[in-house]
This record gives sequence, structure tokens and C-alpha cells, in this order.
Amino acid sequence: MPLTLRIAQACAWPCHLVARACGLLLLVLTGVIMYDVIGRRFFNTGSFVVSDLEWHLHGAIAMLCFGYAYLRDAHVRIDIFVQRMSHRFRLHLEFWAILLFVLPFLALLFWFGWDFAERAYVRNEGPVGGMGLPNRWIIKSVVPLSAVLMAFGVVSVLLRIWVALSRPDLLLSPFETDTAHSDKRQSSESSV
Amino acid sequence: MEVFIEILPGLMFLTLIAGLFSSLPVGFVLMGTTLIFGALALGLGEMRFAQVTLMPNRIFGGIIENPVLVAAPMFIFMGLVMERTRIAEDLLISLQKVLRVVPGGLALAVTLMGTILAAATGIIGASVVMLTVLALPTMLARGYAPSLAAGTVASAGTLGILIPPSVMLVFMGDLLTLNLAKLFVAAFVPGLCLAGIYLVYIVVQSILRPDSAPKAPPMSPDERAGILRESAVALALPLLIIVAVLGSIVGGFATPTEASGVGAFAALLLGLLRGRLSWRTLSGAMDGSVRTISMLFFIFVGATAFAYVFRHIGGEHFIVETARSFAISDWGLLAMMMIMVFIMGFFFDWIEITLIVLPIFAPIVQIMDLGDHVTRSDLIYWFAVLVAVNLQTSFLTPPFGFALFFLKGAAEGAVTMAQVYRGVIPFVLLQVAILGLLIWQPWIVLSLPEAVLR
Repeated sequence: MPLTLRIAQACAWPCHLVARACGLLLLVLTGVIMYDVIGRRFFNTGSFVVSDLEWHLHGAIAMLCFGYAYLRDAHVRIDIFVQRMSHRFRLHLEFWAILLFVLPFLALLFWFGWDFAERAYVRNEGPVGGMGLPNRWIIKSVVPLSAVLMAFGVVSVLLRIWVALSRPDLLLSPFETDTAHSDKRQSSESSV
Repeated sequence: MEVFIEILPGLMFLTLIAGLFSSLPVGFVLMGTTLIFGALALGLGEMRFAQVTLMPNRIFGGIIENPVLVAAPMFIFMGLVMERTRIAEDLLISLQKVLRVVPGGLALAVTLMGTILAAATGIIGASVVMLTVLALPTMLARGYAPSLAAGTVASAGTLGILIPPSVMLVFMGDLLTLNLAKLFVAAFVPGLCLAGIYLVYIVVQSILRPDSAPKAPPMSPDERAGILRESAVALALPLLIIVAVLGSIVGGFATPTEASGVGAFAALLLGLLRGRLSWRTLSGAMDGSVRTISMLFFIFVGATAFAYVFRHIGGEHFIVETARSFAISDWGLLAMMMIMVFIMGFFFDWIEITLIVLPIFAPIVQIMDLGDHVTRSDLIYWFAVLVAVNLQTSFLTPPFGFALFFLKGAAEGAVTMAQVYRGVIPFVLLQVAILGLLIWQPWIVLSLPEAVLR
């Protein structure tokens, strides 16, 4: 396997890891909401901490898997004109869109997001009104972290597009498919 | 230069629309348009750099620190658990068996399935594909007219965006700053009206033209054994989930956000009770949810950035002025927005329309006044439901209808496009009739929330 593909795979790894974690967070969120509903209704335990925890979890799930979704080509496209474009043209289009628009946007989002989270840390921001989860900088870090993880996924696809364009014999599609993914997982499981 | 600044918002919007057709991910196009016009706005002095750096505040406040939106990931998770544990599939099979003596029984089963499982997928493409794969081959094998079969599947598959708990309504409620419980209840009656009128149409059609919807052969005795219990279980389970979700909202137990968690929990529990919730199934459902959730919120982030720049270059003013110059009366404004939503439904899924276009329309809706027809406070709920029904109609309308392409694709050559078009037209006409009725008689939308949420 050429080095480019190996780097692409390394870039994809954090995206996969975080996506699995976020999947588990869905279970955690379900549990937290159940605790909240039952507790408040029957045991009078409703608290700001629990409701803060709900949107904290939601925020992490919603923002941290953009890169993973892109690796799996899960982002919506309006593909009514796809048949009129050649495969190579689409790869070129994707390549330049990433380079000119997506990576700069993510860079800005990381930069401003970093300042945003840092400000919360320096000022020791807590919940509005003083009740709820403290340390708002943790959840605010989701914004720059989201940009970093997305960038990993985007760079991984970018490298694969590069390979698909220069060596179509090695790689046709820059995206991971269901089968390739589960094969990989199976082989990694059997090797463990 | 002045003129250029005047038309900048219009240019930005047109660039976005043109870019969307490039088949790049929608979020990428939003980011690109935002970058180009953000830079222009900075260069022209329409925006200051300090304002640009506030973007994370918008994303944080709008998407993360937003208790209402917690419902979206949970409803998606609930739907995927129901799909992966095959609760949905069982439901269709049982409905088919129970309804086999009724004229058009199979078509009725598909419509009911679409109604009950409205929440299971949330995305038009996914629910139409699911119904097509599950039901279309059976209907054709039983000798149903291909056009009726296709029309039924397409229309039932699009019911999901309207009937609560619907992910689209969660986003609509958030973007138009509505009370989500009230919006859910408001959409309930129109959704049932549509489902009901579909059912009536299918029965009438099957009686008038029995060859287009043949009855199933009678059951053999060993088939009959145990069917009652089996169907009862398969029917009761999803109904239980729906009751748990809607009941906890209407009964005041829980906010829609919490109801979504209750729904996800109920789906997990039922999967477990039926012995279908292996770790493999669960992790499949989690993986699928994460992808759908990310897809939705990625566009949301892009749309937030887009709207931020759009507003700073005078987008709101531009939209209201443009609308005013085209339409003289407030009824004209409503008609214009409805037509625009309808046309956009040809090309875009509800995700793009709700997340990108609705915020742009919001200022127009805020200034609209229809006098005694609808009170100002209720108008925006009524409007949201109209948009939802309108979108659904649009997804079904030939030749572009979004749902039709998904159906054709998933059918793998079992039906021709002409058959799909022919089959769907009666349903589109029914939809338009209902839409007209809702516009004419707003109380159909507004009386249930009034009665329930007092």
C-alpha cells in the first residue's frame, strides 16, 4: 500500500474512534433523559445539572462526527446532475472544493473556536444563574475539536482522491463502503 | 458600488443555489458560499473582523446549547433501533395478514405502516426506500396494478415528515422559535387527515376496479394458527412506542425532548424483550444514527454560518423588500412563499429547505397579518404546518418529485417511471385538496393544540 493511503488511513482513525464513542453516548443520553423524566415526575429530583448534561451530550454527538460521516460519504448531495459528470471530473471538483473552501473554513472555525473555548477557560465560565454543570470550557471546546476531527476526515478523503486520480488501478472511490469497513473490523478483531 | 452592495444578498443566495447543483455535499457548498461572501463583506466594509470571530458563539448557542434540539438525535436513534430490530418489518407483515380480507388490504397496510412508523426514518429518501424494498415486490407479486402500488408506497413514505414525532418538525420548531409540543399537536390532525384520505381513496379504488388491487387468497388453517397473537404483538409494540412518545408530550409528563428519550428507551426495551437486540444490531443502529445525525448537523453548521453572513450583508431587508415588491397583499406573500417551497421541493430534501430557506422566510412570516383569518400568535404554527404539507406534496409531484426517484431507484426496474407518475397523481391531487382545505379552514390545524394544551 502506498504511503499516501497509509497516511489517509491514519487520519481516518481518530474519526472512527470518536464516532464509536458518540454512538455509545446515544445510549448514555437515553439513560440520562430517562433518569431525568422518572426522577422529576416521581421523586422530585429534577436538577439543572441533569438538564445541562443532556444538552452537553447532545452537543458532543451532534458536532464531533462530521469527519466520520464524510469518510462514509453520508453527507447529503443534490445529485440530479451526477450522470452528466465524469467520475474524474467529480473527483477533481471534490478535491478543489476541499482545498479552497472546506479546509480554510475549518481552519477559521478552529481558530475562532479555540479563542472561544479559551476565553471560557480563562474566565472560568459556569452555568447561567450559577446552577448546573460548571466548567463551560469543556463543552465549548467541542467547537474547535469538531473542526479538527472534520479536518482529519477531509484530509483522509483528500489523499484518497489524490490516489484515485493518479492510480485509478489502486483505488476507485475515495470513500469507505460498508463492506470494506466491516471487513476491516473483522480482520482487526481476528488479529486481536 | 452602492448597487453591488444592494444586490449582494441576492447574489449570495443565487450562488448557493447554483453551487448546490454541483453534487458536492450541501455543507461544503454552504461553507464555500459563506467564505466567498464573508470575504466580500469584509472587503466592502459591510462586516467587521470582530463580527466574523463571533461565529463559534452562534454555532454554540444555536446548535449545542439548545435543549430543544436534543430531540433530534434521540428520535433518529429511536427510529434506527426500530428498523434494525425489525419491529418495522414485523409491523408490515402483520398488517398485511390482518387486512387481507379488506379490499386493497395490502395497499392499506402500506399506508398504515407509513403512518405509524412516520418517525422511524425521518429522511424522505430513507423511508421511501424502506417501504419500497419491504412492500413493493409483494404488492406486484399479488397482482396489484404497478401504478397503484407505486403511488401508495411513495405517498405513505412521505407521511413521515408531517406526522409527529417528526425530526423535521423539531428543526422547524427550533428555527421559527415555536413551542415544539404545540407544533407536534398542530401537525397531528392534518397528518391523520392525509393518511385517512389515502385510505379512503385506496378502498374506493379497490372496489371500483377490483383487478387493480386483488384480494389475497384465503389463509390455510395452519397459517391461521397463532396469527392473532403474533399480529397483536407486532402491532402493539410500535403502537406502544408511539403512545409512549406522544402520550408523554400531550399528558404533560415530558417535553418533546424528554419524550424522544422515552421513545428511544422504549424502542431499546422492546427490541430487548423480543430478543432482537444483539450487540451487533445495537452497534449498527448507533453507527447509522451517528451518520444521520452528523449529516443533519453538518448542514446546520453550514447554514448557521451562511445565515450569519447573509444577515450581516442585509439579507433580511433584501428578502422582505423583494417579497414586498412582488406581492402586494399578505395573502400574496403567503402564496409566493408556498409556491417557492413547492418548487424547491423538486430539488431539495426537507433538510436543505428547513435549515436554509426557512430562516430566510422567517422575517416575512413575522410581518404577515391575515386579519381575522388567523390570529397573529397562531399564524406561525399554521404556516409551519402548511409548509410541511406543501413540501410533502412537492416531493410527490411529477416529473421532479423527490420521493419518486428514490422509489424508482429502490424498485430496481420493477415499475416504469410512467407507472410511478400515473400512480402518484391521484395522491398529489388529494394532497393539494387537503392543503387548500387547511389554508381555507385554519381551525383544522389550530383547534387541537388549543384544546389539549390548555
